[in-house]
Amino acid sequence: MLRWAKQLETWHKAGLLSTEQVEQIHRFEASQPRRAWGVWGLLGIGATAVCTGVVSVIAANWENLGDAFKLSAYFAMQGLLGWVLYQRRDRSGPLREVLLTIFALLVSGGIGLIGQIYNLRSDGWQGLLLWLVLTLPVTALAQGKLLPHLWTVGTGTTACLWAASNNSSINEGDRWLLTASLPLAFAALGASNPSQIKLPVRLREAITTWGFFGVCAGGALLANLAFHEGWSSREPAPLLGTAAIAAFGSLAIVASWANRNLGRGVKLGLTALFGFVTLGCTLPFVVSHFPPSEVLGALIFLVIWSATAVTALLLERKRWFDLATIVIAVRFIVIYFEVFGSLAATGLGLIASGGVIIAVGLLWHRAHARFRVWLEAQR
Amino acid sequence: MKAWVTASAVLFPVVILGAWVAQLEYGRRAGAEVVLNVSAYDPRDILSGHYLQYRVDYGIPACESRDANQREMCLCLGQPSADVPEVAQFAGECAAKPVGCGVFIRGHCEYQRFIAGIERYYIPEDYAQVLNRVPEGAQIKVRISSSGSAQVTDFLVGGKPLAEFVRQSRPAQ
Repeated sequence: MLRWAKQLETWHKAGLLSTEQVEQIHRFEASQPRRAWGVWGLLGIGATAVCTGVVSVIAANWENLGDAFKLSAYFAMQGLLGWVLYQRRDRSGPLREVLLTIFALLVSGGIGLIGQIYNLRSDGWQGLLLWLVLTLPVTALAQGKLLPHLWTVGTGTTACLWAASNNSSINEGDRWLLTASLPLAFAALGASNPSQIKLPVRLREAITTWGFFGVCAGGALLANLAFHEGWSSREPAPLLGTAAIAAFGSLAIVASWANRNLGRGVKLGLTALFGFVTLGCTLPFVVSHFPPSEVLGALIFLVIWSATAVTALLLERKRWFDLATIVIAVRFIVIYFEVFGSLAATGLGLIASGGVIIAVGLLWHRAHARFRVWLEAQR
Repeated sequence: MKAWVTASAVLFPVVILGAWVAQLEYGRRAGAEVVLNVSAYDPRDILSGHYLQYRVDYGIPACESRDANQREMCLCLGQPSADVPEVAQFAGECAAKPVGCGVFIRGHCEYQRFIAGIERYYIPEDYAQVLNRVPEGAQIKVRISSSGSAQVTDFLVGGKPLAEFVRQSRPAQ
């Protein structure tokens, strides 16, 4: 039985809904179009299997097929798929989304095939970057979630591969900080007013989700490590990377304040989040002889996730809020292992922090209904 | 949805990849052909098995200085020959290459190695049983454009094509 149907049964038994009302709701729900997750899942798996098959056929590098034949076959397939997509341009639905995804993944197969035929050397990120550029237009056409999320995750992966490779004139510290600035750039786009900065809806959703996740998770982790390790003595100083983080962090704050759709509380929450991430990821690099400190590292991590929790609460993003509180609780416990050397002190610390977490949990359980009423009143 | 938007979106990757292939194909046909000796190199690469990764022997040390890392370098190969393995006559910054340099190859230094983008040769899947490492006496045929960019066109073992070497090395069925 569906979750809402079970809920209806409970309310019916409690006398809150009449039998007639229950039947009316059932009839209404039956007439609504279903979000067929099972079908979407199968289509996604099918599209992935088709593309993995194509890549495997290419990777086999058949010696009995000439280069010209392999290239012609690839371009014929890509062209045919493009023509089908063009013919179906006014239709929407699962088939169009699957074809778009296969089209985009087939481009990656084409890049691999060309690299193989002409024996091109790559660290991986160059090929991915080319794929990102070539598939951005079809990603913008997507009405489903799969391709935009795939594309957005692809940008992060490409940036990480680039940062990890040694094939660059930019120093390693700068490369990683530039990579860390990418989620801030995405979050700035996500925080901006959709009517001012127009982006395809699904692409905006994917960029916003991964941008905020990257800012919260990656930003907090990087700030924690930078404070903990005291990376101010790194040579050469990663000025380019810190400048990028400062620029995109500031841009994200400006974008959220320029967005009229956001309330004052949300703007303040976002300012705190972006501000702490920016400070946390730049201060240890620009202040000379910054003292490494485990406590400060843990503190900046907790501050960033607290700002995330408050912002999620104000935006009514329950899952984000729950995630933030769990992360804070776990980090709270990890502090004791980091700070205290002895087992006895760690144990006592854990007992104390466990008690605090339980107390906060119980308090929240009792007070959250009143807090929601207060929050509604503030709006 | 407007027709030209969809048409542009699906044509864009096809046109760009087509132009790339045309450029690579031109590079493969034009330019000077040279033969270079290569030796085994352990790449610790998760994809190894689908290609041979090797160290190109240019005959002279090109990137010994630690300061050279990531710097663009040029190697002068003199007069090209399609049969005799080349030995470089000059290695240094491209701006400093001598006037009579002739054919030169452009690249950069990485971990004291000169990298010109020709250090990989893709092989068919079934070659992997015979070619678990680069064989002795291996050479590559390379086409070098007038701007110094190079492209591998063939892999030779003892002067013979790779396919022939694999056929001879396979145990009798």
